[in-house]
Amino acid sequence: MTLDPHWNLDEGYRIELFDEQDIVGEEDLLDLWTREAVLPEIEAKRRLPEVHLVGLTEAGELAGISSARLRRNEQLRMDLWYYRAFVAEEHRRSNVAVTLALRGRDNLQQRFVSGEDPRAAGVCYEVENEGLKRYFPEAEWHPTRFLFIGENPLGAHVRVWYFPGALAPDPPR
Amino acid sequence: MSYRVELFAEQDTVGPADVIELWKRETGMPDDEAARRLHEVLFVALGDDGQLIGVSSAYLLRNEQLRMDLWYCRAYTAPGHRPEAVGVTLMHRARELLEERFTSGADRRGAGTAVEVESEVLQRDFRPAIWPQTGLAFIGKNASGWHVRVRYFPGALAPDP
Repeated sequence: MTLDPHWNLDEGYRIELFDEQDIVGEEDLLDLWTREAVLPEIEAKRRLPEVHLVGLTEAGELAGISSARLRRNEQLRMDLWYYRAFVAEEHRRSNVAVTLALRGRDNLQQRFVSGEDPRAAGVCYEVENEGLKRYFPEAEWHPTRFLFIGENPLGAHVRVWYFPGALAPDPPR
Repeated sequence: MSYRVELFAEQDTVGPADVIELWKRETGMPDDEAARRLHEVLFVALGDDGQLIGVSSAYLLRNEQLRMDLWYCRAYTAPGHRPEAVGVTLMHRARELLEERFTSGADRRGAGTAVEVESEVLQRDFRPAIWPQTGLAFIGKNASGWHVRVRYFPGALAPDP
Protein backbone atom coordinates (compact mmCIF):
# COMPACT_ATOMS: atom_id res chain seq x y z
CA MET A 1 0.00 0.00 0.00
CA THR A 2 1.20 3.50 -0.75
CA LEU A 3 0.27 6.78 0.81
CA ASP A 4 -3.43 7.55 0.55
CA PRO A 5 -3.66 9.92 -2.44
CA HIS A 6 -6.15 12.05 -0.49
CA TRP A 7 -3.68 12.54 2.34
CA ASN A 8 -2.01 15.94 2.10
CA LEU A 9 0.73 17.35 4.24
CA ASP A 10 -0.29 20.66 5.75
CA GLU A 11 0.65 23.68 3.69
CA GLY A 12 4.01 25.19 4.51
CA TYR A 13 5.74 21.90 5.25
CA ARG A 14 7.65 19.33 3.28
CA ILE A 15 9.15 15.93 4.11
CA GLU A 16 12.59 14.88 2.87
CA LEU A 17 14.86 11.89 3.23
CA PHE A 18 17.52 13.12 5.64
CA ASP A 19 20.33 11.64 3.55
CA GLU A 20 19.11 13.26 0.35
CA GLN A 21 18.79 16.86 1.44
CA ASP A 22 21.29 19.46 2.59
CA ILE A 23 19.08 22.00 4.32
CA VAL A 24 19.54 20.59 7.81
CA GLY A 25 22.44 18.59 9.19
CA GLU A 26 23.26 16.47 12.20
CA GLU A 27 23.81 19.53 14.41
CA ASP A 28 20.24 20.67 13.71
CA LEU A 29 18.89 17.27 14.72
CA LEU A 30 20.92 17.23 17.94
CA ASP A 31 19.85 20.79 18.66
CA LEU A 32 16.14 20.00 18.26
CA TRP A 33 16.27 16.83 20.34
CA THR A 34 18.23 18.41 23.17
CA ARG A 35 16.52 21.84 23.05
CA GLU A 36 13.15 20.22 23.51
CA ALA A 37 14.55 17.88 26.16
CA VAL A 38 13.51 14.78 24.25
CA LEU A 39 16.84 12.99 24.50
CA PRO A 40 20.05 13.33 26.47
CA GLU A 41 22.94 14.29 24.21
CA ILE A 42 24.60 10.88 24.36
CA GLU A 43 21.41 9.12 23.23
CA ALA A 44 20.77 11.76 20.59
CA LYS A 45 24.20 11.11 19.09
CA ARG A 46 23.63 7.36 19.18
CA ARG A 47 20.38 7.78 17.32
CA LEU A 48 21.80 9.90 14.49
CA PRO A 49 22.50 6.95 12.13
CA GLU A 50 18.86 5.88 12.50
CA VAL A 51 17.41 9.16 11.22
CA HIS A 52 15.24 8.53 8.20
CA LEU A 53 13.09 11.56 7.31
CA VAL A 54 12.94 15.19 8.29
CA GLY A 55 9.98 17.56 8.25
CA LEU A 56 10.90 21.07 7.15
CA THR A 57 9.10 24.38 6.98
CA GLU A 58 9.17 26.56 3.87
CA ALA A 59 11.86 28.61 5.56
CA GLY A 60 14.00 25.51 6.00
CA GLU A 61 13.39 25.19 9.73
CA LEU A 62 13.51 21.66 11.14
CA ALA A 63 9.99 20.79 12.32
CA GLY A 64 10.16 17.03 12.78
CA ILE A 65 12.37 13.95 12.67
CA SER A 66 11.66 10.29 12.11
CA SER A 67 14.05 7.43 12.78
CA ALA A 68 14.03 3.69 12.16
CA ARG A 69 15.87 1.01 14.11
CA LEU A 70 16.08 -2.65 13.09
CA ARG A 71 15.08 -4.86 16.00
CA ARG A 72 13.81 -8.35 16.71
CA ASN A 73 10.22 -8.61 17.93
CA GLU A 74 10.24 -11.70 20.13
CA GLN A 75 6.45 -12.04 20.17
CA LEU A 76 6.39 -12.31 16.39
CA ARG A 77 9.87 -13.81 16.02
CA MET A 78 10.40 -11.33 13.21
CA ASP A 79 12.78 -8.44 12.57
CA LEU A 80 10.96 -5.13 12.20
CA TRP A 81 11.76 -1.46 11.74
CA TYR A 82 10.97 0.19 15.06
CA TYR A 83 9.88 3.63 13.99
CA ARG A 84 9.75 6.90 15.92
CA ALA A 85 8.56 10.33 14.92
CA PHE A 86 9.16 13.52 16.82
CA VAL A 87 7.71 16.93 16.01
CA ALA A 88 8.83 20.19 17.59
CA GLU A 89 6.39 21.69 20.07
CA GLU A 90 5.44 24.64 17.91
CA HIS A 91 4.53 22.40 14.95
CA ARG A 92 2.41 19.82 16.75
CA ARG A 93 -0.86 21.26 15.51
CA SER A 94 0.19 20.23 12.00
CA ASN A 95 -0.05 16.74 10.53
CA VAL A 96 3.74 16.46 10.17
CA ALA A 97 3.96 13.52 12.62
CA VAL A 98 1.40 11.38 10.79
CA THR A 99 2.95 12.25 7.44
CA LEU A 100 6.39 11.27 8.71
CA ALA A 101 4.90 7.94 9.80
CA LEU A 102 3.13 7.35 6.48
CA ARG A 103 6.00 8.37 4.24
CA GLY A 104 8.50 6.53 6.40
CA ARG A 105 6.43 3.38 6.17
CA ASP A 106 6.03 3.73 2.41
CA ASN A 107 9.72 4.37 1.83
CA LEU A 108 10.80 1.35 3.88
CA GLN A 109 8.15 -0.76 2.17
CA GLN A 110 9.35 0.28 -1.26
CA ARG A 111 12.89 -0.75 -0.29
CA PHE A 112 11.58 -4.13 0.94
CA VAL A 113 9.42 -4.83 -2.09
CA SER A 114 12.14 -3.84 -4.56
CA GLY A 115 14.64 -6.09 -2.77
CA GLU A 116 16.90 -3.14 -1.94
CA ASP A 117 16.55 -3.83 1.79
CA PRO A 118 14.66 -7.00 2.76
CA ARG A 119 15.98 -7.14 6.35
CA ALA A 120 12.71 -6.28 8.10
CA ALA A 121 9.22 -7.67 7.48
CA GLY A 122 7.45 -4.48 8.46
CA VAL A 123 7.30 -1.42 10.66
CA CYS A 124 6.57 -1.34 14.39
CA TYR A 125 5.46 1.46 16.70
CA GLU A 126 5.59 1.35 20.47
CA VAL A 127 3.08 3.94 21.67
CA GLU A 128 4.11 5.06 25.15
CA ASN A 129 2.15 8.31 25.32
CA GLU A 130 -1.12 7.80 27.24
CA GLY A 131 -2.75 10.71 25.42
CA LEU A 132 -1.95 9.18 22.03
CA LYS A 133 -3.36 5.83 23.12
CA ARG A 134 -6.59 7.52 24.15
CA TYR A 135 -6.78 9.83 21.15
CA PHE A 136 -6.16 7.03 18.63
CA PRO A 137 -7.84 4.01 20.25
CA GLU A 138 -8.74 2.07 17.08
CA ALA A 139 -7.38 -1.47 16.93
CA GLU A 140 -6.39 -0.69 13.34
CA TRP A 141 -5.17 2.88 12.97
CA HIS A 142 -6.33 5.04 10.16
CA PRO A 143 -4.89 6.33 7.95
CA THR A 144 -1.68 4.40 8.66
CA ARG A 145 -3.42 1.01 9.15
CA PHE A 146 -1.01 -0.04 11.88
CA LEU A 147 -2.42 -3.05 13.70
CA PHE A 148 -2.53 -3.40 17.48
CA ILE A 149 -0.73 -6.63 18.46
CA GLY A 150 -0.46 -6.22 22.24
CA GLU A 151 1.52 -4.33 24.86
CA ASN A 152 5.20 -4.38 25.71
CA PRO A 153 6.44 -4.93 29.30
CA LEU A 154 6.22 -1.16 29.92
CA GLY A 155 2.57 -1.06 28.89
CA ALA A 156 3.17 0.69 25.55
CA HIS A 157 0.78 -0.29 22.78
CA VAL A 158 2.65 -2.21 20.09
CA ARG A 159 1.44 -1.72 16.53
CA VAL A 160 2.65 -3.32 13.34
CA TRP A 161 2.45 -2.79 9.62
CA TYR A 162 3.57 -5.73 7.48
CA PHE A 163 5.11 -5.18 4.08
CA PRO A 164 3.51 -6.98 1.13
CA GLY A 165 5.17 -10.37 0.80
CA ALA A 166 6.36 -10.49 4.43
CA LEU A 167 6.24 -14.00 5.89
CA ALA A 168 5.30 -15.29 9.32
CA PRO A 169 8.03 -17.41 10.95
CA ASP A 170 8.44 -21.07 10.11
CA PRO A 171 6.96 -23.51 12.62
CA PRO A 172 9.57 -25.41 14.65
CA ARG A 173 10.87 -28.51 12.86
CA MET B 1 -18.12 -30.61 -7.61
CA SER B 2 -19.90 -27.40 -6.70
CA TYR B 3 -21.08 -26.50 -3.23
CA ARG B 4 -23.11 -23.88 -1.44
CA VAL B 5 -22.62 -22.29 1.97
CA GLU B 6 -25.64 -21.59 4.18
CA LEU B 7 -26.31 -20.32 7.66
CA PHE B 8 -26.79 -23.43 9.74
CA ALA B 9 -29.70 -21.91 11.66
CA GLU B 10 -31.54 -20.90 8.49
CA GLN B 11 -31.49 -24.12 6.46
CA ASP B 12 -33.04 -27.51 6.94
CA THR B 13 -30.97 -29.69 4.64
CA VAL B 14 -28.71 -30.87 7.46
CA GLY B 15 -29.27 -30.95 11.20
CA PRO B 16 -27.28 -31.24 14.42
CA ALA B 17 -26.93 -35.00 14.01
CA ASP B 18 -25.24 -34.55 10.61
CA VAL B 19 -22.76 -32.05 12.03
CA ILE B 20 -21.91 -34.29 14.95
CA GLU B 21 -21.61 -37.27 12.67
CA LEU B 22 -19.17 -35.41 10.37
CA TRP B 23 -17.01 -34.23 13.27
CA LYS B 24 -16.94 -37.67 14.87
CA ARG B 25 -16.34 -39.57 11.65
CA GLU B 26 -13.59 -37.32 10.31
CA THR B 27 -11.88 -36.00 13.43
CA GLY B 28 -12.73 -38.48 16.15
CA MET B 29 -14.20 -35.67 18.25
CA PRO B 30 -15.69 -37.06 21.49
CA ASP B 31 -19.49 -36.97 21.85
CA ASP B 32 -19.54 -34.47 24.69
CA GLU B 33 -17.22 -32.04 22.88
CA ALA B 34 -19.27 -32.30 19.67
CA ALA B 35 -22.47 -31.66 21.61
CA ARG B 36 -20.91 -28.70 23.40
CA ARG B 37 -19.65 -27.19 20.16
CA LEU B 38 -22.96 -27.43 18.32
CA HIS B 39 -24.22 -24.05 19.50
CA GLU B 40 -21.08 -22.44 18.03
CA VAL B 41 -21.87 -23.56 14.47
CA LEU B 42 -22.41 -20.67 12.04
CA PHE B 43 -22.27 -21.96 8.46
CA VAL B 44 -22.44 -25.29 6.71
CA ALA B 45 -21.13 -26.16 3.26
CA LEU B 46 -23.35 -28.49 1.28
CA GLY B 47 -22.53 -30.50 -1.81
CA ASP B 48 -24.75 -30.83 -4.90
CA ASP B 49 -26.60 -33.70 -3.30
CA GLY B 50 -27.11 -31.87 -0.01
CA GLN B 51 -24.31 -33.78 1.65
CA LEU B 52 -22.56 -31.94 4.49
CA ILE B 53 -18.96 -31.24 3.44
CA GLY B 54 -17.89 -28.46 5.81
CA VAL B 55 -18.74 -26.59 8.99
CA SER B 56 -17.62 -23.26 10.45
CA SER B 57 -18.02 -22.29 14.08
CA ALA B 58 -17.05 -19.39 16.33
CA TYR B 59 -16.75 -18.89 20.06
CA LEU B 60 -16.03 -15.80 22.11
CA LEU B 61 -12.75 -15.84 24.02
CA ARG B 62 -10.52 -13.36 25.77
CA ASN B 63 -7.13 -12.92 24.11
CA GLU B 64 -4.82 -12.05 26.99
CA GLN B 65 -2.05 -10.77 24.74
CA LEU B 66 -4.42 -8.16 23.29
CA ARG B 67 -6.65 -7.80 26.36
CA MET B 68 -9.58 -8.03 23.97
CA ASP B 69 -12.47 -10.42 23.42
CA LEU B 70 -12.44 -11.98 19.97
CA TRP B 71 -14.45 -14.49 17.99
CA TYR B 72 -12.26 -17.54 17.57
CA CYS B 73 -13.29 -19.13 14.30
CA ARG B 74 -12.82 -22.69 13.14
CA ALA B 75 -13.60 -24.31 9.83
CA TYR B 76 -13.62 -27.99 9.11
CA THR B 77 -13.82 -29.44 5.60
CA ALA B 78 -14.20 -33.12 4.79
CA PRO B 79 -10.94 -34.42 3.28
CA GLY B 80 -12.30 -35.04 -0.23
CA HIS B 81 -13.26 -31.37 -0.61
CA ARG B 82 -10.18 -29.50 0.56
CA PRO B 83 -8.87 -28.53 -2.90
CA GLU B 84 -12.11 -26.61 -3.47
CA ALA B 85 -11.18 -23.99 -0.84
CA VAL B 86 -14.42 -24.69 1.04
CA GLY B 87 -12.67 -23.83 4.31
CA VAL B 88 -11.66 -20.37 3.08
CA THR B 89 -15.25 -19.66 2.00
CA LEU B 90 -16.60 -20.86 5.35
CA MET B 91 -14.16 -18.62 7.24
CA HIS B 92 -14.90 -15.69 4.99
CA ARG B 93 -18.67 -15.99 5.47
CA ALA B 94 -18.28 -16.37 9.23
CA ARG B 95 -16.16 -13.23 9.43
CA GLU B 96 -18.62 -11.28 7.27
CA LEU B 97 -21.55 -12.28 9.46
CA LEU B 98 -19.80 -11.45 12.74
CA GLU B 99 -18.49 -8.18 11.32
CA GLU B 100 -21.96 -7.17 10.15
CA ARG B 101 -23.35 -7.91 13.61
CA PHE B 102 -20.57 -5.81 15.17
CA THR B 103 -20.87 -2.80 12.89
CA SER B 104 -24.69 -2.80 13.06
CA GLY B 105 -24.53 -2.93 16.86
CA ALA B 106 -26.42 -6.23 16.99
CA ASP B 107 -23.52 -7.94 18.78
CA ARG B 108 -20.45 -5.96 19.80
CA ARG B 109 -18.98 -8.51 22.19
CA GLY B 110 -16.03 -9.49 19.99
CA ALA B 111 -13.67 -6.89 18.47
CA GLY B 112 -12.68 -9.11 15.58
CA THR B 113 -12.04 -12.66 14.48
CA ALA B 114 -9.10 -14.84 15.42
CA VAL B 115 -7.80 -18.18 14.28
CA GLU B 116 -5.29 -20.49 15.91
CA VAL B 117 -3.44 -22.36 13.19
CA GLU B 118 -2.84 -25.82 14.55
CA SER B 119 -1.74 -27.43 11.30
CA GLU B 120 2.03 -27.28 10.78
CA VAL B 121 1.42 -27.73 7.07
CA LEU B 122 -0.71 -24.58 7.02
CA GLN B 123 1.87 -22.71 9.11
CA ARG B 124 4.62 -23.76 6.75
CA ASP B 125 2.87 -23.47 3.39
CA PHE B 126 0.72 -20.39 3.98
CA ARG B 127 3.21 -18.02 5.53
CA PRO B 128 2.22 -14.52 4.37
CA ALA B 129 2.10 -12.31 7.45
CA ILE B 130 -1.35 -11.24 6.26
CA TRP B 131 -3.36 -13.95 4.56
CA PRO B 132 -4.54 -12.43 1.28
CA GLN B 133 -7.90 -14.21 1.08
CA THR B 134 -9.06 -13.50 4.64
CA GLY B 135 -7.01 -10.49 5.78
CA LEU B 136 -6.01 -12.39 8.94
CA ALA B 137 -2.74 -10.94 10.29
CA PHE B 138 -0.14 -12.89 12.24
CA ILE B 139 0.16 -11.58 15.84
CA GLY B 140 2.30 -14.27 17.46
CA LYS B 141 1.91 -17.74 18.90
CA ASN B 142 -0.26 -19.24 21.59
CA ALA B 143 0.96 -21.39 24.47
CA SER B 144 0.83 -24.48 22.24
CA GLY B 145 3.08 -22.83 19.65
CA TRP B 146 0.31 -22.40 17.07
CA HIS B 147 0.23 -19.27 14.94
CA VAL B 148 -2.46 -16.82 16.02
CA ARG B 149 -3.99 -14.55 13.41
CA VAL B 150 -6.44 -11.71 13.87
CA ARG B 151 -8.65 -9.46 11.81
CA TYR B 152 -10.31 -6.57 13.61
CA PHE B 153 -13.77 -5.30 12.79
CA PRO B 154 -14.05 -1.71 11.55
CA GLY B 155 -14.29 0.59 14.57
CA ALA B 156 -12.91 -1.95 17.06
CA LEU B 157 -10.88 -0.35 19.83
CA ALA B 158 -7.60 -1.32 21.44
CA PRO B 159 -7.83 -1.71 25.23
CA ASP B 160 -7.82 1.36 27.46
CA PRO B 161 -4.42 2.35 28.77
